[in-house]
This record gives sequence, structure tokens and C-alpha cells, in this order.
Amino acid sequence: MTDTTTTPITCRDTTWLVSSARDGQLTPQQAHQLTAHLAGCAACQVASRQFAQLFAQLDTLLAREAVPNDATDT
Amino acid sequence: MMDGARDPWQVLAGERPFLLRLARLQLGSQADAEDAVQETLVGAARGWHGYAGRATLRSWLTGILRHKIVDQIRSRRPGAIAPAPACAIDGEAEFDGLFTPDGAWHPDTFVDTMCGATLAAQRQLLDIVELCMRRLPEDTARLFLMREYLGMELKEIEEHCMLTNANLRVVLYRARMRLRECTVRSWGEPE
Repeated sequence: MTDTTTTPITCRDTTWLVSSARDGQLTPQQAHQLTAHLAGCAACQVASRQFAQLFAQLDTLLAREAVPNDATDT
Repeated sequence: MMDGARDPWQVLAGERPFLLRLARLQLGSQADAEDAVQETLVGAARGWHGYAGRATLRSWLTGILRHKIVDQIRSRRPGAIAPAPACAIDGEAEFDGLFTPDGAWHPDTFVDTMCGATLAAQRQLLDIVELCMRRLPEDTARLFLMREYLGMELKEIEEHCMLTNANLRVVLYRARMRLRECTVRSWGEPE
């Protein structure tokens, strides 16, 4: 039987989960809690988009997407 | 983007300060950082004609430097990279002002600005992120960049830096929260 109950989390908890998701996959329960909270919280929807934009800019600045094949074997 | 009209060395040298900051944070030693950056620039100069401007020059060089730094770090014994940062258990207390006592975003301090999406603004946005990263405490920035720049797994960082998983997660959380707070406030400033 699947447990479909979800313990509500706070906005502060969501920031922790958003950060954790950057380092690895959330547990199914955490993912469910995050999704459920975001669905009903306008501020966290904004904050989540801000984090996403920040992470995208970090990827660009730190060349996380770039995989240079040349000039690395000096 | 690649500037074919200028001397490659002159163009590459313009990125040296940024690369040196990254390398110094990761390697701790100025001499090691200088070596890694020098190798990066020499390698880039050799590969200059093969560089087709697919990425920005900074991205290209940052990617090359990453390999040099990771090689150096992995050749060192665990614990030799950085001292464990002073990471108090109440490490999240500094964000108390952002939230109400029951954990909701505080309406008086929540910044809801979003960054512009135009290409013209991208360079400026990246500069903002870089400036905000410079404001991170050195120990925090070092660990944050081991994860975000070098792409090291948490376990590897924990072993090299003698940190617990809980401590490392708090350090990364604090860095991301600080960066978000710093950048969203800048996004809200008029150009």
C-alpha cells in the first residue's frame, strides 16, 4: 500500500529542499512535499523560479555545461 | 566571443584575474593557483585556432581550468585542501529575518524580483552573480565551488575536507541562500 499522506512543510523547509535537489535526487516523500507546498504558495513559486534562474546563471558562469575537449592536455 | 583582430595572449590575459580567483580559492596556494592558470592559458593559446567561439571565452577557459584544479586536488591527500569551516549547528540562524516564526516567507523582507531574460542583460547578470560570489566567506566559497564548479560529489568533498555530510549540506545551503538574497536584490535595481 502506498502512503499518500504528506506532512506539510514550511516555506523555510522548501528552500532547504530546493538546495538539496541541486546536489541529488530528493526522496519521493520530499519531492511530494515540495510539489504540494509549491502548488499552494505563491511566494515559494517566485523563490523557486529565482533559485532556478540563479542556478542557470551559475552553470553559465562556471561553465558547468561546457565540456572543452581541446587544450586540456597540456 | 573570440576576437580574431587582437593578439590571443592579450585577450586571454584579460580573463586571468577571474581564473586566478577561482584557482586560488580551490587550491589555497597562490603558487599552485598561478601554475594552474598559467597552464590553462598556455593550453588555450595552443588551442586558440580550434576555439570556434562555441562558448564565451570565459566559459571555455573556466572549463579548461577545472581539469587542472581537479587533477591537483585529487592528487593531494584527504584533509589537505581546506580546513573545515567553522560551521555552527545554528548555521541557518542568519536567515531568521527572512522568515516568520512559523517558517513562512516574511512579507517585509521577501524580495520578489525576477531577472531579465534578454540576451543583452545576460552579461550584466553574470557579473552580478560573480560579485555576489565574491561576498561569500572564503571557506564557504571554496566548498561551494568544489560542488558547483568542480562538480565533485558530496562524499568526495566530505572526505577531502574532513566534513560531515550534515555540515557540508548546511554550508551549501547557506551559500545558495546568500547568493539568492544578493542576486535578487540586484535584479531589482534599475539599469
